[in-house]
Parts: sequence; C-alpha cells; structure tokens
Amino acid sequence: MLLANMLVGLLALLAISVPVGVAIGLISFSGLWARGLPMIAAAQAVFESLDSFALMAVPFYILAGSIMQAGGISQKLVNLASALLGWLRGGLGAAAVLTSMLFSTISGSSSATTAAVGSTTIPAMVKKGYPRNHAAALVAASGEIGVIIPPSLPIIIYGLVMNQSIATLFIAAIIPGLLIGGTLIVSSVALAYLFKFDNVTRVNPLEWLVNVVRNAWGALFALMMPVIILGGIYTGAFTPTEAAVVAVAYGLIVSLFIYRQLRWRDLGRIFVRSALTSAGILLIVAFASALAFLLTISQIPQQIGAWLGSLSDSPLVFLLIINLLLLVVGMFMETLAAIIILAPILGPIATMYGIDPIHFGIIMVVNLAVGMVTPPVGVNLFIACEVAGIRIDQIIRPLLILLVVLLINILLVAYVPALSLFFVR
Amino acid sequence: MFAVATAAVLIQIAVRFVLPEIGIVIAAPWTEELARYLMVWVVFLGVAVLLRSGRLIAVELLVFMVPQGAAKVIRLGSVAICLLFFSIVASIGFDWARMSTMEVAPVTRIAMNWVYLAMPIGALIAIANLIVFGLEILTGLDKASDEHAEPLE
Repeated sequence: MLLANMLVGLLALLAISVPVGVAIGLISFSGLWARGLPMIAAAQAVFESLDSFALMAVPFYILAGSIMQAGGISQKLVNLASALLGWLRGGLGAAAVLTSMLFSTISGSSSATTAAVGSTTIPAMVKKGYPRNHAAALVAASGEIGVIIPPSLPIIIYGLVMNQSIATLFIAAIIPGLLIGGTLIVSSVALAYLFKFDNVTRVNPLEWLVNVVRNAWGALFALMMPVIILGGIYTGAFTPTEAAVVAVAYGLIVSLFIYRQLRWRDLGRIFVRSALTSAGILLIVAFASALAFLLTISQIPQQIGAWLGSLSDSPLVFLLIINLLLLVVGMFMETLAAIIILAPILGPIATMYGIDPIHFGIIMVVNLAVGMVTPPVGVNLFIACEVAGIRIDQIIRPLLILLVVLLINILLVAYVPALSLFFVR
Repeated sequence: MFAVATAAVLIQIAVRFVLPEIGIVIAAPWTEELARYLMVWVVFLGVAVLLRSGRLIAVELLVFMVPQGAAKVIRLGSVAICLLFFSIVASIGFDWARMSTMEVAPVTRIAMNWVYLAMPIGALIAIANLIVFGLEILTGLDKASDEHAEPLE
C-alpha cells in the first residue's frame, strides 16, 4: 500500500515538473511521517550518503570532463576518429560513434558525451548529406556509451550502494562498452547503405595511414587519459576518486600548457559550472538514499523479492523480468536515482538466482542507459535534437532502428556473463 | 547570488588543491575529511543557486506540451512544492544541528555543527531564491534571465 502511494505520488510530482531530487525527498519525508518515524532519520541518511570520499569521484569526473571539453580535446578525438573511419560508407557516422567511445574514457556521463560529441559531429554529418534526424539519432544513441565505458557515474553509484569494488565494476564494463560501440558503428554503415547517403571516399592506404598517425599524435595526450585512469585503478595505484582528481590535474596541465586552448580566466566559469552540475546530480543521490532507507526499513525489498521469487525459479526468466522492469523505469526515472532505489531491492534477489553482483551492476547500468535515449525522459534525445535543430518527434523514426540494436546488446550483456566477467576473474 | 556562486567556486578550488595531496602524501587524513565536508557544502549551496533559475534536473515534458497559461500555473505549483520541501529541510536541518552541538570531526576537530548546518542554510538560501524565481514566473521576467543562464550538462 505504502509502495503504491509513494509511486503514484512520485510520478505525479515528476509530471508537474517538480525537480527530481525534490520529488524524491518529499516522498521520503511523507513516507517517514506516515510511518510515524522521526524526520531526522532522513537528514541522517542524506548526510551519510554525501559524506563519502568515494562519492566525490562524481564531481571530479564531471570537472575532468568539462576541462577536457573546453580544452579542445573533443575536437582532437573527432579528428582522429574521422581519419580512421571517415572513408567508409557511413564512415562519418561511424566516426561519431568512435568519438563517443573515446570521449567516454574521460567522461562519466552520457549527457556530457552527447553534448561534446554532438556539437562537432552533427554539423559535419549534415554537411556531408546525412539527414538531420539520422545524425541526431546516431549521436544520441552512442552517447549512452558515456555511462558504460569507464569512468561512469552510474557505476560509481552502484558500487557505493551495493558495496562492490568500483574498480572491478569499471573493468567489467569495458567489453560491454566496446560491444555496444562496435554494433553501433556497424549500424551506422548499414544505415548509410540502406538510405543511400555518405558514399565511400576513396583514399590510398598510405595517405590514410599518414593521416591516422598524424591525428593520433595530435590526440596523444587525450588518449593517454584512459591509460592513466584505468591503469592506475587496475594496478591499485589509486582509488577511483583519486584517479578522478589525477584526471582533473592532467586535464588542466594538458589544456593549459600543452594544447593551450584553455585560458586561465575560463577556469572560474568551468569550476562554477561543474560545481552546479554536480550539486544538481548529488541532490538526487542524497535524497534517493533517504528513500532507499525508508524502503529498507519498510521491508519492501523482501516483499518484492518474495513476489518475484513466486513468479519463476529460472534465472533466465528472472533476468527477462528485470530487463523489462529496468527499461520501463529507465524511460521515466533519472538513472542514478533508479540505481540507488532499485539496486538494494533487486541486487539481493539477483544473488539468490546465482547472478554475480558485478555482472548484475553492468546489467542495470546498460539497461538504464537505454532510458536516456528513449522518450519521454531521454536527456540524450533532448541534447541531440537541440544541437541538430530538430523536434523530438522527428528523431523517433531513425532512432527506432538503433534502439533495436541497443536492445539486442542488453540481451547479450544479460545472458552472456562472460562479457562482463571475462577480465574480472 | 554571485557571492554564493563565488563562494562555491572557492570551496571547489580549495577542495581540488587539497586533494592531490592525498594522492601524493597519503598521511594527510585531514585533507580527506575537509574535502568531504566541503563537498556537502557545495551540494547544498549549489542546489540553492540552481533553484534561482529553475535549473535543477526536472521532467519538463508536460510544461512544453500545454499552452503557455497552463504551463505558468504548473511551474508556479512546482515552485510552491519546492518551497514546502525546503522549509521541511531547513527545519529538520536546524533540529539536527542543534542536537549535535557536542560532536566534533574525528581528525580536524571541526565542530560537526559547521558541517550539518550546510543543509538548513542551503535550504534557507534556496527558499529565498525560490521566492524570487516564483515572482519572476508571475511577472514573465524569467524568460529574460533564461538567456544568460548557462545550460548545464
């Protein structure tokens, strides 16, 4: 009963454009009040979730991402990707996907990836004869890789909530990220053949090689970033939060002194913007923790677990139900909030079915990421449409094909644990 | 307003200069503690700043779909709900801070009050900003301020 009331209340608040963090907070306050519990419990849960060194990785990765973007690093990545794949039919689209993958290694959010990659690649694609809506749909879909290839904010949050190693989760996400990127590149080429745009550009192999090497050299400092971050985390040299700070420092040095695209006086603006972006995200994290606390003391995880358990004994059926549930939730709910609220509910049940918690984290993130590319609450769609100058309804048709590709990826990630666990074991 | 933003930046920069020390000199636990508490402040002040121009993450589909007049009513309703919310936050935040006057941080010996106060003080600033923002929606001034507000990622 409590759950149903809370759900209806939450959806109603969200519908009338109450900020997500406020809506979640208000629902948890009223839940505590309805159960006659002290409100201070909510304040405590909120504070405990924020007072965490691991959580600080979130603002630092956001800052590192905006420094990289302002420092002209995204442009260098676009150049490299176009040099590599630009000659293919549909190659510019493929290059946009590859740029998203490269950018994902310095950015932990899908909206930042969409914005950074879209602002340079969408105009270029349109110029080369891509229909605007195709270009926008491709960038929106590949933007979701931002939260899959590490670093990734949702993965950090999952690790915190579920008490799993963030470093291990990062490593588990690599192959699924490459898989999604690879299939989107293939789709881009297939779409270009199907709808007849972006012809093959003939280049001789030597020229191609020279061009690739030259651009790879130009992007060298940007390409070193994932090596430093992942290498540092993998070898245990630093924690994910420290890696994020190293990324910030590295990004500052490269942008200020090596590429010299960033000026000292831009720094204030970047810091303010990152602080505000982080505050907006962490507010949701904080109050979602209060809601998760309320759900836990109300024993809702156990009830849902018992109910799910009564549906089927088979892990395969369970995974299918989870996938459907997460897809629907992802369409309506902010990703981080969904993880904080749902992971403690679903995680223990998944373990009961014999699903590895690391694998389950990747399943959750991959599922919820698709929600960023689906209406009504798809951040990537809004950003891509804004950059491309089209309306939301125009992007839907080309997007459908890409969504099918993403769904196939979800099933692969869910049913082939080796994709996530290969490097972990 | 700008002062609040600047304070947030100063705090952010401070956090960032403090932190690398952890990477290099591991025996400086006070930096970690300080950084964590500063982050708490940044979140609550940042939220207050974002509310001034209605830039918190929200689902604005309905607002875009309905006619202008109705959209105005919905947005005002949303501001009113935020006001209610932050009043609750402010009051429980003060209660909590009052209850924990004796606590001090384990390493830095900062009174925990200073940290807990972030919540109610942030909420108070949020309330002030919400009232201004609500008035702007009423008078139609908010469209003008939308333009120079930088979009967030």
